[in-house]
Amino acid sequence: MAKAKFTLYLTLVTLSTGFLIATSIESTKASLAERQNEKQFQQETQLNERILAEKEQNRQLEVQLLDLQRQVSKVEQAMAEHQSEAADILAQLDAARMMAGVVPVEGPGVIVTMQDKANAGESEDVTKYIVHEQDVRLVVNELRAAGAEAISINGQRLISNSAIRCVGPTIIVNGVKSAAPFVITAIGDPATLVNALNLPGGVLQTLEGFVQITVQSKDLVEIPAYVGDVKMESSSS
Amino acid sequence: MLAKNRKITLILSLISAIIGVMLAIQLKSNLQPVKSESRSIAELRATLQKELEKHKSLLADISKYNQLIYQYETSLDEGESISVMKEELARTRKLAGLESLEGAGAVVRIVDAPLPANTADSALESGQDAAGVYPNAVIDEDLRWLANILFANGAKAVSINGHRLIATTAIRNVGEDIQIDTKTIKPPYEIRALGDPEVLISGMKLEGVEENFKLTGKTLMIEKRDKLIIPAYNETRVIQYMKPVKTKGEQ
Repeated sequence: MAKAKFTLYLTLVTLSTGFLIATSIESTKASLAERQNEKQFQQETQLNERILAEKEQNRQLEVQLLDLQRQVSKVEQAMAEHQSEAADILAQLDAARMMAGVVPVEGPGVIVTMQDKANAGESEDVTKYIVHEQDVRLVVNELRAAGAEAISINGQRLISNSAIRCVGPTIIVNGVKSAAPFVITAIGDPATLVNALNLPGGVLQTLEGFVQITVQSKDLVEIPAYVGDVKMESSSS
Repeated sequence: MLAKNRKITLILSLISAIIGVMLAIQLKSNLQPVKSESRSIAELRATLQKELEKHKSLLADISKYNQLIYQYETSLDEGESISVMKEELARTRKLAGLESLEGAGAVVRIVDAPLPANTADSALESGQDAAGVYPNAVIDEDLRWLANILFANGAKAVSINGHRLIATTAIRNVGEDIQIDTKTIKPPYEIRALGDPEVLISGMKLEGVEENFKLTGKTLMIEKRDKLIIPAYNETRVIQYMKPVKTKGEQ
């Protein structure tokens, strides 16, 4: 009886020791993986912090740039008041700056919002009901044809060499990525712009069946300046 | 005997409890797989890079305006400050596409494919104009698409049949023809793009531009050029609605 008891205890103790060893090995492995996760997490946090810092810095730089532009225009304005020749040139300069997209502009216009149909995922042909880059180009093109003077997509000013690309659910304009909804802002005669989009068989009718698109006419919209290198300089003769 | 039995039961239950705990730990550690976060790190890096690029271009813009202010301030007389202004005007006009540009680039000609289309390879660059054989199958979106690809691959300026594309240029079908802004263009279409020729051409290859135009019975003749002239935008536009934002509140 005593022997049987002893055997039973021994078996149990050995068994539990085995489990102990197994668990300790397992937990060491787990903590190793955790440490790796921890490292990744730290890396992520670091990256996030750098991005935030960089964004803040960029915001300050943008303010500084706007300030400088204002200073420049003050100096130019003063010159224009003194001399008629300067006034002539300034008028041309203002126009050229607006057309080049290097200064923020405001005026009456429209805001077109495009996004995927809410139930796109449920339909059998998903690609039919999402916004494609050609849809965005189509709207932009129609606005241009209707006399839009300045256009931005999700806050990116379209300039003479802007490309509009879609990658997955994001749109890339001027190399800057942003997500849906795609908000196209245009300055021009609101009535003309809205009518052009609303033409029978026009853009709105074509797209409405496939994507969610709304057009709002506005008395005043603001379109930011294009921020970037002066790329033309290097190629000029 | 009863007491002993109870003791065994007690010990057994204790050990079972320990085993239970161990099993639980084991299960838990198995159920928590190591998540891979590398995708999000790559994404964060890309975001950071974009911000850094923006930083660089903002600094470039700021130094440009600083220089301009400096030039204005150091001009000795009105004549000199006006010439500074004129320089700034010329630079800005270039940006707006109001001046012609010269540099390296690529020329794409869209011509009718030689007959019969299925035996003719794109290598066959005979360039003969088999006019009227195919309907005018190139539509506005084809040209918009092509121009967009060129811009996406770093084209600084693009013109189609001598008409410069600027920020407000519309390309659209009007009847049988294609209009660029208010000018009607006729085939064969010639697209000129200023930029790194290698990048432009490989970009077009990557997007399958040739294959796409083949479907409409066209062949593309793509040429590298060391020197290429892109004309200035030659329509007059009166700005009616937009004006510079002057009174921007302090942020």
